[in-house]
Amino acid sequence: MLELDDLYLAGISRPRLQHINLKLTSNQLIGVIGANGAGKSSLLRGIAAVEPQLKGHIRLKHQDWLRLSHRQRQKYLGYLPQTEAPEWDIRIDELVNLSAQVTHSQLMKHLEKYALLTLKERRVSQVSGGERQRALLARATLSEPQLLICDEPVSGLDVAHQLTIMQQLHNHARTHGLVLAAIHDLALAARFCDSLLLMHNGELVQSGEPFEVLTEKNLAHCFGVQAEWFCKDNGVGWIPTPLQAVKD
Amino acid sequence: MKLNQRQCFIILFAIVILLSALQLTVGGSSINWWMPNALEKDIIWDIRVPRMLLTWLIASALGLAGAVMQLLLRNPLAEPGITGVSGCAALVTIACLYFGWLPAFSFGLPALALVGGLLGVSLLMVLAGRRASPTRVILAGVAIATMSSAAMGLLLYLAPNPFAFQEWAFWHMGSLANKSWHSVMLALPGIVLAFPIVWLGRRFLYALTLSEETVATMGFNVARYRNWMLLAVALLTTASVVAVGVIGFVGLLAPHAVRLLGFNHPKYVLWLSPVTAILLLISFDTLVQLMSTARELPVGILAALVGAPLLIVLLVRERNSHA
Repeated sequence: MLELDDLYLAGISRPRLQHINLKLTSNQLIGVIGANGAGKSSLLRGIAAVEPQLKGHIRLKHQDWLRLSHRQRQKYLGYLPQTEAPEWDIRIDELVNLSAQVTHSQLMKHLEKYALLTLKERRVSQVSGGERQRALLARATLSEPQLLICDEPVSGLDVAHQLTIMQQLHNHARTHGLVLAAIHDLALAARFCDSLLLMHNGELVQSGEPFEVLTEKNLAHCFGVQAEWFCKDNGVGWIPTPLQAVKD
Repeated sequence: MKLNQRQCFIILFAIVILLSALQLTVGGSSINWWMPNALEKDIIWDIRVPRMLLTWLIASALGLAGAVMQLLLRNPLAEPGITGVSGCAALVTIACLYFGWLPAFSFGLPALALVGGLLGVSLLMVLAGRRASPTRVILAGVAIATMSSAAMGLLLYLAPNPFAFQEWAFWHMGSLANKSWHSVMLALPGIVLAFPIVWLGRRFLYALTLSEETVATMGFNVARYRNWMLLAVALLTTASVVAVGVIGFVGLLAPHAVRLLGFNHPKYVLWLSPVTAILLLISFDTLVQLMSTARELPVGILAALVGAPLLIVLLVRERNSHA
């Protein structure tokens, strides 16, 4: 569904993205992981076509993605940036339907899906950070985009909200298309993502299923931590757990 | 009971009609409204009606320009007067008028003043940067406004016309006194052009509730839409400046008055601001005319007297929110 061909993004001291080549199939939740400054956001912003300096080719369903008009891209794309602080203290239902794309009944159905019906008349300033993030995700997915890009959607949220958001991303991938999300929490990434992209210094180090990517060697190399996988027998499965920082 | 946009618009509009009627009745000479004589008819038709219409036009232009700038820059302190956009338009207007680069009050004047307005907007964007903090916008605006004001003073001082310098207060503070249909016609084209531009870009302005990055993924070519909106601001500001000089703070006051009425959605702020601005400017102008002074006080002074304290309140609030 999505093909990245030799993506390159220049930076001030070093390239932010270096020769990324990748093919991704539909109906998958892809986690983008890496340490701070690894190039996760740059990759997601590049795919969302909000990095004007990006070089290379991106094809979505065999179309030249970067050459499509903003309006054409919008039909496929939902985007949730790393930090989003709504400028106006509008109501949650107004925030979700900001671009006024759907009818009232469609909006209500969508709000219900994201458990926002009871909050719909509250203002942005009157809800918690987690609820606001859920509303912003609901806005990004209102048009049921086939490509959903979320940059650290669960950062700063409590555990319950993290799980809710990850489950919603997972559901969106299953029903609508491809979801790419930058995630810092490796346990969450391992549990919810179908595959992971491990970034380091602007390069794609490895891609594949969580077990293949989250190896002790990779974690030590890219995150500078010594980590092990722990197993719980309560159905949650294997959890990669950083134990201590690796000394230089 | 919570009013919706339409109901609020109707109520504000009704108040505007009432105030306009009041504005028509005040002036230097008393008029017999039931049986006006020829002179009184002339006063009504050639002085008071154009003044009233001009107030409507100028205020709606300033209100809309203020709202567009606040939405576009995502900054509650942006306004054409404070940010020096009006000053730049006035500077070009004065240069053309007093140095004989154009026949006086030629209709080519708005087009040339538009260049000044656009220059002011561009300078602001360059100096403050996009998504700059309110303080940066204000600092850049103060610099531009001060430069344009000083250049205006210098030009008028050097102008070949010996009385030109006396006009400085008029251009600097804006006045609705002694206006004719000619001024109405000077202001009209820019405003008629700008309103449809803003209407076409309204969804972009509402979308700017979110970051520009997100807006770019919502189907908007941000750079193109931004340029169109800046052109609209320059058209609106220029239209008001060529007709009545620089009237500051109305564009700042109106959107905040809308917010104070409890309307927080950008849609309400955008479309209720022009009506609120008309209400404000008509009130100011009526008040100015009711003050019995030898020479009519420029309405811009009253607007600044009311507007400047508001700016201070907003800055203090801004400071506290960052504290």
